[in-house]
Amino acid sequence: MRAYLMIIANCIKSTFTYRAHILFQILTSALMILVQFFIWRAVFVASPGGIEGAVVRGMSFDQTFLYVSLAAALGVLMRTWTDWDMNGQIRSGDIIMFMFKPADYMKYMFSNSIGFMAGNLISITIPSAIVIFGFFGAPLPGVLNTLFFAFALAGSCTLTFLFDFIIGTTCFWTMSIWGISAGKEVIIAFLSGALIPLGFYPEALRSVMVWLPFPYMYNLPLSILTASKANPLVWAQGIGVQLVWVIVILAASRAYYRYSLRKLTVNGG
Amino acid sequence: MENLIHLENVSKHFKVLNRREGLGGAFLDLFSRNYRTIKAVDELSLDIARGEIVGFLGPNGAGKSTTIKMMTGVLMPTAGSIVINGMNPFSERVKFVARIGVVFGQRTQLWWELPVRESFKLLKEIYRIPDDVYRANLARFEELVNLQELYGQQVRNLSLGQRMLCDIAASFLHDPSIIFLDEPTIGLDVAVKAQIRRLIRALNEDKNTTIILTTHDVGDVEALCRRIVMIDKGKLIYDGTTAAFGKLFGSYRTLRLMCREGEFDTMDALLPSMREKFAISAIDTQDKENHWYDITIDQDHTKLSDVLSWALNTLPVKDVQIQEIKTESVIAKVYAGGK
Repeated sequence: MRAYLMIIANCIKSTFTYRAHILFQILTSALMILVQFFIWRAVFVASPGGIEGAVVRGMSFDQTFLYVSLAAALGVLMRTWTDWDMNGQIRSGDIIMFMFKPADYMKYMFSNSIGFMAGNLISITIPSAIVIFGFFGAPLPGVLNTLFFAFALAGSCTLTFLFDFIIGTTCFWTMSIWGISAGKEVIIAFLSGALIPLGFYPEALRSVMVWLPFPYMYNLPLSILTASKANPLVWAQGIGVQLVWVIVILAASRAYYRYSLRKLTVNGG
Repeated sequence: MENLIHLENVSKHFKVLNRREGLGGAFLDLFSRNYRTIKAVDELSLDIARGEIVGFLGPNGAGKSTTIKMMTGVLMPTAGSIVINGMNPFSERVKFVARIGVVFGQRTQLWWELPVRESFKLLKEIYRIPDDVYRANLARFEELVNLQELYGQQVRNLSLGQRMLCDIAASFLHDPSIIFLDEPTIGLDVAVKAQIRRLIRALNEDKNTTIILTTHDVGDVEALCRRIVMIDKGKLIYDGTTAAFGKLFGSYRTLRLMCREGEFDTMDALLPSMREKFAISAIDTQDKENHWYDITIDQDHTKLSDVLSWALNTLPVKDVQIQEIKTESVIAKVYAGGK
C-alpha cells in the first residue's frame, strides 16, 4: 500500500517538472472557459427573455455557463493519458519492466492516474475554478453540494481511469490505439454531458443515456454541484448507481486485462 | 553445489502470420489465417548453480531473449519445465520476481523526471526492503562506484553510463538471488564498461548472487563469466568454461583488405596464391561491393604480421582492418567440430 502511495507522490512530483507545460495548460483551459462563455451567451441572447431572463431547458444562463465551464475544468482534471501511456509501454516493450516487479500493473497504473489527477488539480483545475468563480462571478456551490460532489467526483475519476485502461489494454491486440482512443473521447464527450448539459438532448436520446455509464462521469457530479436546491436523496441514489457501474466495469476491465496478458504471455509476443 | 536454476527440454513456439507483399497483400493480411510456427527455443536443458556468472551468447534472434523471458516468468514455455529458486516462474510470477532482479540495457526502471533517490525509495517499498539492508546496500554501492553524487540528479539528466550504473545498483537493492542482465554495457565507453564490470563482479562475490548475462561484447564475458552458454536457432550449441571457449575462437582474427578501385582482377588472381602460401582458413567476399575482402587467419598456424606485410607488398590494397572473429563465425566453428 505504501508503495502505491509513493507512486502517487512521485507522479505529482513528475507533473511539476515541466513548468512550461503547466503554464500552457492553464492558458488553454482559461481560453476554453472564455470560448464557452461566448458560445452560451450567444445562445441565451438569441432566446426569448434574453441573457437575464431566458430559461432554456430548465437552465438559466448562469447555471448553464457554470455547468459547461466546470465540465471543461473537470475534463482537464481527469485527463491523465493512461491509455496513451499504456500504448507507449506496450509498443516499445517497456511494459516488460513492470512484469518484473512484485506489484500489480493495474494498481500501478491507477496510482499513476490518481497522482496525475492530483497534479492536474493543483496546477490547472484550481486555477480554472478561481477564474470561473472569481472572474466570471459564478455563484459558489453550497456545502452539501460540495460534499456530495466530492463523492461523485471520486467515482467519475475511477470510471475515467477504467475506460482509459480498457483502451490501453486493447493495444496488446492492435499495437495502436489511435482510432479507438479518439472514438472513446468522442463517445464520452457526447454521452456524458461533458460538452452540453444533458437537459439539452432530446427526450428519446436521454431515456437511452440513463442506462449507460457515461452520464455518471460528468453529468452526475456537475448536476450535483450546480443544483440550486439540495436534494441529498436523489444525489445519493445517483452515486449508488455510479458505484454499481464502477464495480461492473472494474470487474470487466480486470478480466479483459488478464485475458489479454495471458494471451500474450502464453502465445508469445 | 546447490542447483538454483533448472531448465528441462524447454521449448517456445510462436505463431507468426505469413505476410504477403505490397499494399494489397497488407490489406489481405488483415483477414489472413495463414500462420507458420517458429521455434524460438527448442528443447533447451540447462542447470545453473548458486553464485555462478553465466554468459549467454548467440547472434540476434537466436532465442536468448525468449529464454530470459521464460526464466523471468514473463513468457510461458510451450513445453518443458523450468524450476528456479524452487518455483515455477510463470505460474508463481509475483512471488518469484520478488527474489530476482532484471536489467535491460535498452530500458530503464527509473523514473525519468525524478531524482534517482526517489526511484530507489519506491523500490524499497515495492520489495519491502528493511532499513538496515537498504542502508548497507547503498553504502556498498558508494564504496564501489561513487553513486552519491548521482542520487540527487533527475534521471533524464544522467548520461547513459551513469543511468546504467544506477539501474544495475537498483536491481541489486533487494538482495535478489538471481540477476538477469541483458546487454548491460551496450553503447558505453571503455571506462564505464570497466566500472560496470567491477560493480557486477563485486556484488556477485558479496552476496553470492547468481548472474545471467547476455551480451555481444566478448570483453564482458572474459571479464565476468567462468561459464558460457551459446544458443543458436533456439538450440544450445555450447555449454562449457570460458577458457575452453576462448581456445575455440580466441586465436582467430579477421584481416580485412580493401581493394583499390578497378584492380579487382589482380586481387582475385593473387588471392589463391596467398591462400596456399599462408594456409588461410577462409576468404570471404561477402562485402565485395564495398571493395572489402575478409580473410580469416588462425594465429596458431599463421603469423598475422606475415600475411599483412605480404598483402601490403603484393596486393592492390587501399586500406586494412583487423577484427576479432564475428559471433557468426564462432558458431560456424562450434558446429564444425567444437561440441
